[in-house]
Amino acid sequence: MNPADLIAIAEWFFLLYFVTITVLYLCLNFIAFRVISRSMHYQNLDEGVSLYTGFELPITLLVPAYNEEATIADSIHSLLQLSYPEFEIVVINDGATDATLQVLIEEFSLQAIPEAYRIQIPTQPINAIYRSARYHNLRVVDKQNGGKADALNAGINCARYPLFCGMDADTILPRDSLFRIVRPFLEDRRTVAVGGIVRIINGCEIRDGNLVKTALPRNWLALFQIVEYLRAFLFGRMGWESINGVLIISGAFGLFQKEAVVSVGGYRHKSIGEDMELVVRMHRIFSAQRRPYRVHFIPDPICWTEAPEDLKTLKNQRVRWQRGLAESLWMNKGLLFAKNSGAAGWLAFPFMFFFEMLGPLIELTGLVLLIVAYSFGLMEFHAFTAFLILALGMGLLLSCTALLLEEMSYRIYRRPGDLLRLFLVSVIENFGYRQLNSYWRLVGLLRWLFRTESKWGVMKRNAKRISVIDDK
Amino acid sequence: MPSDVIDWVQWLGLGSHLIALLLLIYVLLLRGWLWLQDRNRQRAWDEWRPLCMNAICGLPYEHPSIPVTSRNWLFFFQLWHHYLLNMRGEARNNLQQLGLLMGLHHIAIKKLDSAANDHERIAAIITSGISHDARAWNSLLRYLHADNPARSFAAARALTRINPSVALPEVIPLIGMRPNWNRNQVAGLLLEAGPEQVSAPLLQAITHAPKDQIVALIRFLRFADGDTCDTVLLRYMTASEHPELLCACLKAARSKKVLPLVRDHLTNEHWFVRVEAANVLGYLGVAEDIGSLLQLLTDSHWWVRYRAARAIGELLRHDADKLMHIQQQQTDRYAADILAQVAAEWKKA
Repeated sequence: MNPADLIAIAEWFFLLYFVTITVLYLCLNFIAFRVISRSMHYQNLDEGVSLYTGFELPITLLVPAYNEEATIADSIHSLLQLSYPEFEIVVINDGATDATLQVLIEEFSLQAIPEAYRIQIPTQPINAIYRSARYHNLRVVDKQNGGKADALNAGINCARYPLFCGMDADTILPRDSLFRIVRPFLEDRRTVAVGGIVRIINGCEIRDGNLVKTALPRNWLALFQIVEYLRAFLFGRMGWESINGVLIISGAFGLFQKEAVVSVGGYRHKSIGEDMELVVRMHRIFSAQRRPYRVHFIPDPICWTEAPEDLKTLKNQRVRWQRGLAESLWMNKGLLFAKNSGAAGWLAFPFMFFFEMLGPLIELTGLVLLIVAYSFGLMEFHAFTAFLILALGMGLLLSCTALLLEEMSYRIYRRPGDLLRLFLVSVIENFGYRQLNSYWRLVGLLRWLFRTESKWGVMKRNAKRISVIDDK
Repeated sequence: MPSDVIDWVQWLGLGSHLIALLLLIYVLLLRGWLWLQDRNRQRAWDEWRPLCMNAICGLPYEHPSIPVTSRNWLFFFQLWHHYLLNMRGEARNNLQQLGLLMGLHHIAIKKLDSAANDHERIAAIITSGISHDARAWNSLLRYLHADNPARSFAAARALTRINPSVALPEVIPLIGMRPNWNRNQVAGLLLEAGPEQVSAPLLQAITHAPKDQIVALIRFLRFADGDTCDTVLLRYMTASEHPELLCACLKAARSKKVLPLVRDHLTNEHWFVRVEAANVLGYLGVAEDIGSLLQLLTDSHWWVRYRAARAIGELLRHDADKLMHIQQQQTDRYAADILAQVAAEWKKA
């Protein structure tokens, strides 16, 4: 077989790959379109969104914290203002090396209590458990460092309520978030987990830990991520929801049935993508047990989180996410085409494996081959440009459908120029950002293959920016 | 790759660009249309908001320059309904009167059968209910049995508002049959109707419900009066061994009449029934129950020990010394730990 034949085979393979992935995404988009438009019909008609009837299931909010001294107090104050009849906040200080614990002790008048700590899931040793003298529903668990998953498991051991919500310390929630995310548990008894749409807070105005005004950020990296989040959350996950194929619930905010999570062994503490791994494992174990279960995803924007604004932090995040994805899928490979695994095992898992996990490898190989083949005269200019036009066009088409869904539903960014800026970003991201992102994800995949040790992700915060806005 | 395939690839790529561009134009047009809608809504709301505020405060109001018509009625409904959800008592009645004066109920009656979409239909159902418009009764009964849970529940609520004594015997049995009705909203419906309306139909529904629906109905027993509650509990807690049913009954317990039955279940074979029984003793029990609760402190299940300790804490809330004494007497480490925690919590509360 000569190089020209190899190039011809590669051309067919990449063409089929691009067309298949776009068609699948468009199908997800179509499902999401139906789900969102149906959900919009019932918006503002609800007579019980924040009604206190005593039938709301109590919720434990688990806030793992590691070196969060700059933001932890604001975050907890904001959580204490949530509107919900019965909830507790359990902050888990995972052996922070800065003053996180001291800030918490002083800010919330914490006092050590002799809690009868129940080890349902083994974790690193607990140093002490504190209770706030000012807020009856706030406790802090001080433990030795073990990673985010280990911290969440310690929180589960401490949780007193049947539902728990795993979240990041810097997540900002609208006041009625808990009312919204708990709904699937009230409407469907099979529900074991619920996720919701995560939005990017960069550029928005925050006051006293609460979101007061939405706007697009000026930073280009943050803008690129907004388009990505729209694609990933609006139709990526909404599309899978209706067929019980949601495999990812963001660690930034997700509600779980405690008993279900404990029964599968809690978060896997050696995993770097513990949020996804848990959901995939629940699918694998519950489908094997033939237990009726549902993983729901609601279209409401219930959680806001800060996106990285510098290349180094973004790179670390993407490498970590890709490693987490690969780990989660590999650890639960038994779900792939498993008997009784339904859409999760027969559609969502293969999709994630071939298009999300191996996607960066295929995309970058395709790009390199295209350039090499053209440079060595193995590909004509006409073919070269045709492939580039196709790759760009399909990416743009998917971004535009996400913009359409956003416009039909929540219209978060209301200024007239915002739409055009987002469209412009959808075009520009194809020239460098997408390829860079694929490269980072490939690095993540390789690190997973070579089993590099997992650690807490370090996120460079823009606390100064937020406090500057606060001062306005 | 053959050149005609490459041509196809190119056309596919160009086609994607074209569709993306068309989508962008559509999105821009949609935004323009939505902006116009928002502007019209704001104009109307600027006119109607003072009207609603005057109604809430019981002040006189004049007819607005923008009348409510079948084209703009949803704008008025959104504003009016928003205020209604947040008002109680006289203010709510005044708002209902305002809705009638603006002719909202006449439009809702027409829209019940000719709505363009589900949003409009459910808005019409809600309006008919709030306006107590009996003309809507037959249409609402039809919607009550619709497959769509949002539509059927809205109809249930509207029927209950129009005539609770006739509607609740129809609506309450459906609670057991409709697991897709949001439990919180069902609770809201029963709470609004009140125990005097809810008790008889709920008792009737529980009595005649198939076995698999009884638990769902008993969960709402807390919205009935005390006598109904006792009647049901005395019957089912004596006759049934079904653990879920027992848990639902124990959660509804609120009179000392059922205490002997509660005590019987402190040794139930299912740990979650023992947890509920310990919970009930925490708020209904008497000092003599401490002995039985102390035995649960060595239960094999953590939650039973924990709830028993909390119940003991509740019963000894004003006797910290005795609680401390009991804690020191414990030979079981878990029991001592849990009592220490409960004692510390009471101390700091």
